[in-house]
Amino acid sequence: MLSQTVRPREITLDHHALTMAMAEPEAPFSDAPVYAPEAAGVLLLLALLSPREPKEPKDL
Amino acid sequence: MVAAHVESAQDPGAALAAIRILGADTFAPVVLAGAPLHPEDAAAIALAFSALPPGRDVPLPPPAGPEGPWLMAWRDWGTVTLLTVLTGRGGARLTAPRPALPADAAPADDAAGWAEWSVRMGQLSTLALPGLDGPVHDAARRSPLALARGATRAVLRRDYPTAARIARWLAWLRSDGVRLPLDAGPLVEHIGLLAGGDRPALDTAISRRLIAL
Repeated sequence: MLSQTVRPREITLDHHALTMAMAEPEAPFSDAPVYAPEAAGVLLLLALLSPREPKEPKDL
Repeated sequence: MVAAHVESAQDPGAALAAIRILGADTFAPVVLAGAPLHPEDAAAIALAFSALPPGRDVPLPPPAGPEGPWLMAWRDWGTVTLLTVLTGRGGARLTAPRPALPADAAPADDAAGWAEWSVRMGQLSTLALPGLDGPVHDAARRSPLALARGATRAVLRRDYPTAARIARWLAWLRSDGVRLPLDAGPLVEHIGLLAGGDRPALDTAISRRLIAL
């Protein structure tokens, strides 16, 4: 029985802590992906440096 | 369920604080899945309120007053109201005064301020349950577009706990028969896939139940 283990008015809760826990504000900083123009050059370089497609061996 | 948790907890005070923070969501299995409300659970909720009774003075809504006590007063109102609805007047004799809403309670479709308003509605998402109705719910009914914008903004910011809270209002509006500017189902599923943590998981589970109503 709950009343046998925890007696009313034996426990007090911290009002300030409860208020803070209930506030649940939004995240202060956005984690959205942002536009980075310098990334275009890197992507182009990676595309140019990527290995060629493998070819079928001729002697089979 | 919550009574057993309080009984077995090493720190019953922390368990009672958790019930208080959970608020009206303690009754989610009752109002959404038809589970019976055990009298011991109702007693545990009453105990959480006896450990820190709600203030008799109604806190002023922001910006006239601080946001924290105002949010807590609304959440306490939701818990006490739903407990009274489920147990009847003869059950736990708890009271929690109903706070007022700010003057800008619901932004018009073309008005600024929808971002801050939707975040604040998310902070009151424990009220988005069947069996509760009041000024906060009326404000949600008046501004589904602001809530849709707020949920989308939170997803784009990758702030999934906030997105889960605001999407819960969209799910509640859908269960209330309000026409929405976006489909709440895929939104809730998307947030459910990407959000981590217990509280977003609970909000998403409740949203799924609300959509299925």
